[in-house]
Amino acid sequence: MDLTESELRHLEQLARVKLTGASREKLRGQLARIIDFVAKLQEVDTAASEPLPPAGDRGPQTRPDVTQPCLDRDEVLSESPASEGGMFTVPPVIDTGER
Amino acid sequence: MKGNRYEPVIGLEVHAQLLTRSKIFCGCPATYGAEPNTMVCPVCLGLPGALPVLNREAVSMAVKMALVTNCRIAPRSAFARKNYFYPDCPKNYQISMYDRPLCGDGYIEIGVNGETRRIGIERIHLEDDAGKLVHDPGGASRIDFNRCGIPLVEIVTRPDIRSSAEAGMFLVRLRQIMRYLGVCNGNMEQGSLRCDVNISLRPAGSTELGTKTEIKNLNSFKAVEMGIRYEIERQAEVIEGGGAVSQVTNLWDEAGRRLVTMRSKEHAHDYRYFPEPDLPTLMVDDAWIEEVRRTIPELPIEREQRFREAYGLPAYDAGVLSAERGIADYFEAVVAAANDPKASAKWVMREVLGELKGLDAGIEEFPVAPDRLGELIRLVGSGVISGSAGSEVFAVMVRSGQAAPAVVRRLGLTQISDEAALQELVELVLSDHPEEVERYRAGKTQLLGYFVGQVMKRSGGKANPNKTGEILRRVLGSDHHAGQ
Amino acid sequence: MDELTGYSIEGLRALYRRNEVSPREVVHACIEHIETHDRTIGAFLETVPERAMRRATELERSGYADRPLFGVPVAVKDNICTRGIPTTAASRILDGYHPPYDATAVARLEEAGAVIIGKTNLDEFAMGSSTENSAFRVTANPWNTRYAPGGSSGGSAAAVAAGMVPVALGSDTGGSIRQPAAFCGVAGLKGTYGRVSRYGLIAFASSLDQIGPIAREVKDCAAVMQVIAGHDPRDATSIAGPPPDFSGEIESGARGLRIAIPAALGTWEMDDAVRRSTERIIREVRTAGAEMHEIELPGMETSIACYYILATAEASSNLARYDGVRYGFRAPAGTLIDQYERTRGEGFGEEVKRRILLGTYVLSAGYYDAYYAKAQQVRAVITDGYRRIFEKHDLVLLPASPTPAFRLGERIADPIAMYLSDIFTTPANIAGLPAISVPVDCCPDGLPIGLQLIAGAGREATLLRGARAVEVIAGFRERYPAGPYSIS
Ligand SMILES: [Mg+2]
Ligand SMILES: [Zn+2]
Repeated sequence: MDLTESELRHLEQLARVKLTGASREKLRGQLARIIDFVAKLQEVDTAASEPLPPAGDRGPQTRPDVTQPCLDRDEVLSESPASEGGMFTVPPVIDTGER
Repeated sequence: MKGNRYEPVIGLEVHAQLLTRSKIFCGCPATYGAEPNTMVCPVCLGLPGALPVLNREAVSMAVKMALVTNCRIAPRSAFARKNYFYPDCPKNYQISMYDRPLCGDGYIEIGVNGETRRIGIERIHLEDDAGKLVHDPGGASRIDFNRCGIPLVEIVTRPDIRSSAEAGMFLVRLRQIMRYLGVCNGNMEQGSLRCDVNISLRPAGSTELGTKTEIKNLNSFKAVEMGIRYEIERQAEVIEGGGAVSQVTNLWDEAGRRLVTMRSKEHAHDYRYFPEPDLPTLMVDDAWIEEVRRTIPELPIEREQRFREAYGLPAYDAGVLSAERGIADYFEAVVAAANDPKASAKWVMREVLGELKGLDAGIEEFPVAPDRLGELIRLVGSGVISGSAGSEVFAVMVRSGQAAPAVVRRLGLTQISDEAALQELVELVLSDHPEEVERYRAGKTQLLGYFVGQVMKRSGGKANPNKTGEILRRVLGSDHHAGQ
Repeated sequence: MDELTGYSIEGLRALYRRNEVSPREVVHACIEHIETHDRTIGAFLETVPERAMRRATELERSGYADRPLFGVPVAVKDNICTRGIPTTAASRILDGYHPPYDATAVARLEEAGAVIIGKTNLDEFAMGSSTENSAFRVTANPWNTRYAPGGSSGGSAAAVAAGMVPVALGSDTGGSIRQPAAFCGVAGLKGTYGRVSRYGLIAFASSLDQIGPIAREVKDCAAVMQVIAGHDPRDATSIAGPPPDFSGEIESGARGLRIAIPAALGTWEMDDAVRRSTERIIREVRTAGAEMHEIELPGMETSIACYYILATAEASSNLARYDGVRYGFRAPAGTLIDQYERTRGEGFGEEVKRRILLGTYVLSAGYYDAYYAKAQQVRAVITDGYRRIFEKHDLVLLPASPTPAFRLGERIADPIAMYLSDIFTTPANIAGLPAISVPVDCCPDGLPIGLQLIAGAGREATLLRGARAVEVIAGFRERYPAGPYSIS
């Protein structure tokens, strides 16, 4: 298959990854080959396949509604690339109703 | 109005924060209003390596909602990841439910113009809440992750709603139920209850569906109704103008009381849902459902009916007294203490609810306990104090927290009900007003009230008015007969 | 190898019991050994000598001598969180990140008396089969430094092979413990899915990932597994109840084991030396009294494709959190979207980006059914196929990898060739089964060859019994007592 420029850009946008320079072209070709490689799975007959039994018998699925200690805020914020007034900061966010 | 030629088809998507102690997937307290980023842990901050573990109580609360909205509860349901990048979402995916929701296929009934309307519930599922973004004007945005991971139930209705008023009634009913169940405090302004609207118009009488638009950011009941009205108008204008409604998202602008239409995106969102591999299939068996069922209290509709039938209350009073679980519980405790449902209803509606408004507090914090109010009502009912003295006593009880008998004693408000004492007062009054006595006896019996007033005055308000009336009638009547 | 660095856990325990050495001496010897040799090998991304010596001192004073891993130095793959020690997953995007908590496996190791020596190199986010995808350094195979140690747990396997630590933790998503163990001539165990808590393991593919031990001896794998296994209330996918006694039947030998051999073994593409060694072990295990049966092994043609769809789909979502907002690397930009795209574009290496984009593709609208949903169905078929095999057999025996270690740089340009080096290991992850790689031979070039055993779900004790039997039969340690040659 061929992965078109716009298809690749769409994937980059969904994954929020920007590819640049020569590595972008190289990766486009590799990705197309890998997609071809994994596409052979479509030939496998899975008509008789039953959905996987749920992993529900592994253990208690839930925890009791009990509170636990939280992290220290200074420790948390010390890992952050940018923070102010006890909060993490990012460039201005415009509400697009995404949520 | 243009809208009349078109029938609105409206569906709601309600998100309600559950009142669990801890968050849905971690042990952080699910509290509101703490210092920013102090209620966080590796799980809800999406730190590398952290894993979610489901809070059992959140499931129980969703099951509770399902039971009272006539939903089916899936014996097996599954969480899924909804992938999208947004800075208030630390993992950049939300753990929600997608093709295997916990509950679905139910309904809630609302009364519209004396008819019962059934609004279908398509699904109820669990998911985690996002953090909070604070937009510095002109500067960076800041993020507080305290809210992140608070459990939410998402309740999606079928497109069965036909007007803004119906939407409002549905929401009020839903909120009332959730508050009764103790699963959500229903505060839209604080965001513990949120409502998105899907809306389309179709020619009246048609059964096809038009293109729907979305309204988000509606943060009050009023905003929901206004937003829907505006959007109906807007869509009707588009159609009237020969245009086609396009699939857009409108945000409610609370300050400007208007809708702001977001530009529709080239690509529809592609959330790439897939089963959440960190959480096993959720299995809810009959035993769990029964355990939850046992905790469901009598609901407002049933309670209102019982108030009417068992206590003989008028519909309006029964509605007011059953609307909030706390009020209804309080009222019933008063009835139990006073043994007089009608008087109790009057006292709670007039005095208690009146005081509550001024106090800006919940009934749970009301300073007069229901058994003490019952005691006061008994004092009035048995004539120990007058009704008006009762109101005075109540006011003192609210301020001082004292019991009724103590207040009555302190204020010296005990009524004079003693026959001999009242007789003496009556005779004094009559001898002071011979002319009026004459006129009464000549047939002007309306003067009885005047004499009662005079006796009350002379007694400093303590005379039992009913007994005073009886004695006056007897004395004036017997003299009259004697004089003939 | 230095005098104090060649011991097994059992050997160390015996020395401690007789008070012949102290934990401080052993830890010190490890640190010195690493300082001398790790310039050549490159197994570690971070060592914590002071912390380790402090910890050894505490142990000496604590009276913890009865703890199962008392004074045992361990290395931890750098995708497993260690409180206060940088944990990077060998990615630039987590450069300098200090987790505020310990992974459950790490906490259990320390509780058992182990001493953490440092964090080992890996392919970035465990994505790779040679450890060459590390953002920070190349790790050499201690047997021949021009060769790759395998991956992604290449740093842990190399550290153990080079005698720097007796045991190390690795993680295995598609063979990332077993393949590097085979390449480095050591044993590597992956338990049943859910056997070891994943809490604190930086997720690559959540439904496949398992932490497990790498050691020079099978018994040491069992001893470490005994400590790190068991239900964890912080991991909803961890198996309930106490773990089995992993060493309970470990010396029971091969007699009576029902071992399944892939009928198609003769037709599979593999290195001649690997084929010869595998056939030799099959013969000798049969001679030792095991029942051998040829079976049709499910998923050999499909498991790699199935694996790459499922693993990359989960990874595309698991790695979304690295966005430069709360921790790690950020490439500042004027708009949020630019900041995301640049942070992730510059912070992730090429293989990681390839896999994120592939995973995004297979989940995206229009492709989900053909790729992701289909792969889930294939997974169910493979899982069911293995379940049937283990109704009648105790173990499946096959090579750990079709080739011994390949040269550094040899496959880095060809992702699919690299993916195919996991062909024998991915089925156990897809089916969630316990599997182990045991060194059995060296090829004419002097590079080790590993043999793999797979057991039914929850049957680690049988797996370890078989592995120990193979270890004894193969006599690898006796035949290559000097271990890796290139260290001088
Ligand atoms: Mg939602
Ligand atoms: Zn938390």
